[in-house]
Amino acid sequence: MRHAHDAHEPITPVRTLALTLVTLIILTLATITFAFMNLGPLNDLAALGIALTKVGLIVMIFMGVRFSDNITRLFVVIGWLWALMLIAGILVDVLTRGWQLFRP
Amino acid sequence: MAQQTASIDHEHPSYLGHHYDTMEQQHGANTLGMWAFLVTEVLLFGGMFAAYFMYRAIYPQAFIEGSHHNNLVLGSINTIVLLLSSFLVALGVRSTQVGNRRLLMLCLAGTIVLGAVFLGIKGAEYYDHYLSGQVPGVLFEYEGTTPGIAKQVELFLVLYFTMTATHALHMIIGMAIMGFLLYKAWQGRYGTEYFTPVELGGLYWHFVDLIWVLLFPMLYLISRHG
Repeated sequence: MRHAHDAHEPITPVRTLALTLVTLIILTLATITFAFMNLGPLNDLAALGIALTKVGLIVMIFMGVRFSDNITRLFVVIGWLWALMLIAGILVDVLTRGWQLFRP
Repeated sequence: MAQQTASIDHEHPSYLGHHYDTMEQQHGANTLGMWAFLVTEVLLFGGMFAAYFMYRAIYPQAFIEGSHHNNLVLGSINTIVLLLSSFLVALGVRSTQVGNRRLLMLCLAGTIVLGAVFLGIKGAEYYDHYLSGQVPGVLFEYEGTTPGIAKQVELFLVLYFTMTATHALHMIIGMAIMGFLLYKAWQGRYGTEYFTPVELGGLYWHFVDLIWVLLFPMLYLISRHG
């Protein structure tokens, strides 16, 4: 693998980039197809799973985080983690409001 | 004295900042800084995502109904347009690394064109919403299937317009960055020795792309089988 001077990081081959693009497009078509099938609760899970896979491909390959140092990786992960905690905290509140645990 | 210090200083290329020892160090610091900025962007969109998921949990039926008014064909085309543009940006970064300035310029120009296509399609969708009276707060005429659902669909549309408009604003900024990079590339500023700005501008563009990758299923793909 060739190395660029400004970072001495490996250069991603065109083939890898093209394969990533094709995979992303296939995943897009897959998520559209799944949306038209009645899979019950699996519908949301499939949509979420495919979206996160696509985000992972973009971050690791297109954004080159697989070549990044550990401190950069920490930043990449932590931002999404905070957003996820915000969403999880709100959902825990909203989804449990109907529960009646303590009846007089 | 100052001149003396300068003369004993080791040779710095013009694109290496004085506070850095090596290109690697500068590149690492710049990449980390860009990601620190992108983390704040994740939290900007994260707040809107949180509002979306909260109201979707409270009004699931209205979110299904509201999302079915979105044009799935145009949304899907736009998703592929953005994925293509991200590929071009990644190819552009690679082109600089191997010293192909011509291909870099073509990739940057192609990215700007695809960005304009995306915004054009998005604009057509907005116009459709306007014609159908689906602009919350301004022009909203909706006959829901069940009483009281119109207000909830309006809420979905508030989130839809807020998120897609914030995303579109990022697209416009991204296109300006690509234009700047294209101008500098035309001047011959980037090459195998120095391409950090191309990489950092690329990070921004990819980020805007991946926000759309998340928005697309949230706004267009809820229970289409229903």
